Amino acid sequence: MDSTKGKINTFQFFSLLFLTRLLTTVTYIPSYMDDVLLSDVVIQTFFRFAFGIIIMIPMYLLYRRYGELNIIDIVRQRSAKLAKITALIYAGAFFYFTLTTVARLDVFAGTIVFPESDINYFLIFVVLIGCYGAYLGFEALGRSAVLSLALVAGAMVFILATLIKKMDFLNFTPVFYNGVSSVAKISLDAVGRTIEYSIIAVSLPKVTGNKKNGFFFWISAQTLVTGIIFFFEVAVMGNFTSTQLFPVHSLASLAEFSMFGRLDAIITGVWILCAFLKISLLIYLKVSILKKEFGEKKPIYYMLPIGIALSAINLYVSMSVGRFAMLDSSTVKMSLTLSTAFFIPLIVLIISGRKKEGENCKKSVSSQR
Amino acid sequence: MQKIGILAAVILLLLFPLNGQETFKKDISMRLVVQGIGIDIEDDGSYTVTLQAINTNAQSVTFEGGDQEPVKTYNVTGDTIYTAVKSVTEMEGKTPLYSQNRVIIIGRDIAEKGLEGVIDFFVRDTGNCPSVDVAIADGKASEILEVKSESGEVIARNIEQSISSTDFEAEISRLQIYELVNRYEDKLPSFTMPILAAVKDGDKERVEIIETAVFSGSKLKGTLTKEETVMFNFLCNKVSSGAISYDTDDGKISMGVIDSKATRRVSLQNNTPVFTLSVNVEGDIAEIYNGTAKTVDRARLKELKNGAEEHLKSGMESVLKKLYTELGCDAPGLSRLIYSRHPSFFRENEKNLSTVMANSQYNVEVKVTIRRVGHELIKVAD
Repeated sequence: MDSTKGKINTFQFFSLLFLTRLLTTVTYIPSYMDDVLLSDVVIQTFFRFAFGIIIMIPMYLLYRRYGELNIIDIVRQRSAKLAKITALIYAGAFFYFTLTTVARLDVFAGTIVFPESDINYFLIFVVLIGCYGAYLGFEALGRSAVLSLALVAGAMVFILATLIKKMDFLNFTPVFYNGVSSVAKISLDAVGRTIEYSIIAVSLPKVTGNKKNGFFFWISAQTLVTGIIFFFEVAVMGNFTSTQLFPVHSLASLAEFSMFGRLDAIITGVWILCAFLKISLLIYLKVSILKKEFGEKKPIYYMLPIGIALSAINLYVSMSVGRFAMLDSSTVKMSLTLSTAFFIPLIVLIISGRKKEGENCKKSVSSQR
Repeated sequence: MQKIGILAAVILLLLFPLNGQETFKKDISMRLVVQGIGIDIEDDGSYTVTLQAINTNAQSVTFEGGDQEPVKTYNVTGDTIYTAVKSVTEMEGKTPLYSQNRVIIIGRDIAEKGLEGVIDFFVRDTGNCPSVDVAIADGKASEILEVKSESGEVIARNIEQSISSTDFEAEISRLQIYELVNRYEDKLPSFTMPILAAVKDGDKERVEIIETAVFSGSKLKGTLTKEETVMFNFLCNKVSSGAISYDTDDGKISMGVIDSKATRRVSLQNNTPVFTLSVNVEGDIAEIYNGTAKTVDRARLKELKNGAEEHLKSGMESVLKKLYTELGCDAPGLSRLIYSRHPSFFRENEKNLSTVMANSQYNVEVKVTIRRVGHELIKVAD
């Protein structure tokens, strides 16, 4: 039996995570950064790098101890019941983030793309496509990510290059003019919106190759690209940034090349592509986790209730910007991400016992192969 | 069988919400494709909005009857800009499409009272493009958009092209909506934009850019002539081409500007900001008007260079004095330089920035490099 079946390599996996995280950057709403001045918006991306490394320390130590087991597998060593509870927590976190991704896509489509139309069918369609993407499997998503990465990278470089002549460096504010604490706070808030850390925690057995190097490459690239996007935002738009619902989209609408103006259609394409990958990945992971803990039934038995719940909640939220604001809560996101990416691995690390137990687990895993 | 059933269910599910989706039946003839928006204020505080739109119902010239005008102009009134524009929908039965809008013209009345009442609509509505040009009308905005072009061109389009080409020659200070908002949200808000006027030339009428409006906060404070605008653009590093003319002992010289780079520095001396603005200009001598043919030798080249430098330096110093001392406007945005380089000083003096800028010292350094002189001999030994 091919041991790589159902697995993807490190490059595919971290390309997928890069694009799903890029979606969060491209769709950020500046109201979350009200206390922070323009230069600090750029600086906070580097704080995020440090926080990201710290958050992943427990997971890294577990990986070193247990090898190719994900967090739920490690918990199962102790108790099957606890593993089920852990699985539900992770599935719940992924479900919430899928909800907010679809909701944000709804706000974007309803405000910018189809402002005069009823886009309920669009939401249902997005969820259906996400379910289909999840149904195709992890390998399909990984392969799609590599191709999409090339397209997205080309598009972003093109858009940013056309904006160079519009930069005004006087738009930048003094660094830490209002203090460091607000910058650290929004940086932590941004980390809280990075569910990708939790995805790493449950996906390790499905990834082949040097995961440590892949992780460092991913977090560095993600920090750099986010910093560059924010840098261009501030340099080109300055204070106009904070007046826009989706500043990256507004930035793209200022891009022009030769006779082509308003390159925001490219950003819309990037957005939808990344959204499709993220929604599909999160649905796939939910189904995969639940299947393993609650019975290997056909995926449709898990996907159908997930799809219906996603559609129903988003249709309800879609009707009101107040409901969207309640759903898209930074506090909830931070709690879920920190719990699933840091606190649960930390607790498991502490409780899991001595290294010898880890070696026994490694032996039993390798003998099963 | 199961798969076919699921597929059929999905298709039915998708078809259901698509029934009666009237909003997708709109073709272009049902939209008001706005090309220009003019805003004026009435004595009672209501707004008059002039919309210039492409006539999507215009028939072929060979078809008898029908509406032949390529553009239509609508004048509507409302308590706010949004309610005024909505009444166009009631009048024409068409929804405005702002994404193709080329220019926003604001009446002089509004400019003098303050722009805060008009900016929000253009920022909030997601259909508006942030790179639309903004200009002031010398009078009513409706007068500008109601100018009829003989060739049937869309006046708003002409205005946009005129702004674009004049900006290329550095004779105007172009402003787009995102730049306006960016400067408006500054600690010491100030910005400039072109002033348009409807000019009669016999039976014909056209729109001209006559001056540059200077704003402090949201209110019009003064104007700059075309010559002053050129100097202002040099200071703001906005000149990539253009022309200057100046006098020397031997006559009037015209120089085509090939490139210009301005750098701005600020230092604090005795708690007073001292700005140093260095402008490097590269140009070609385009014409020496003195009635007699003369060769350009080294001594003369130096005279031409010095003349250009003196002309530019005195012009820029005069503009800086006008802006900061007479008008009290930080149009070049030099307070932002203090903000970024000396934040502590800025924090201490944030409340009286206008006074600080008026009392600051401004040193202008100009260096001109003459690249070419055209078909002239340069005497090597003299």
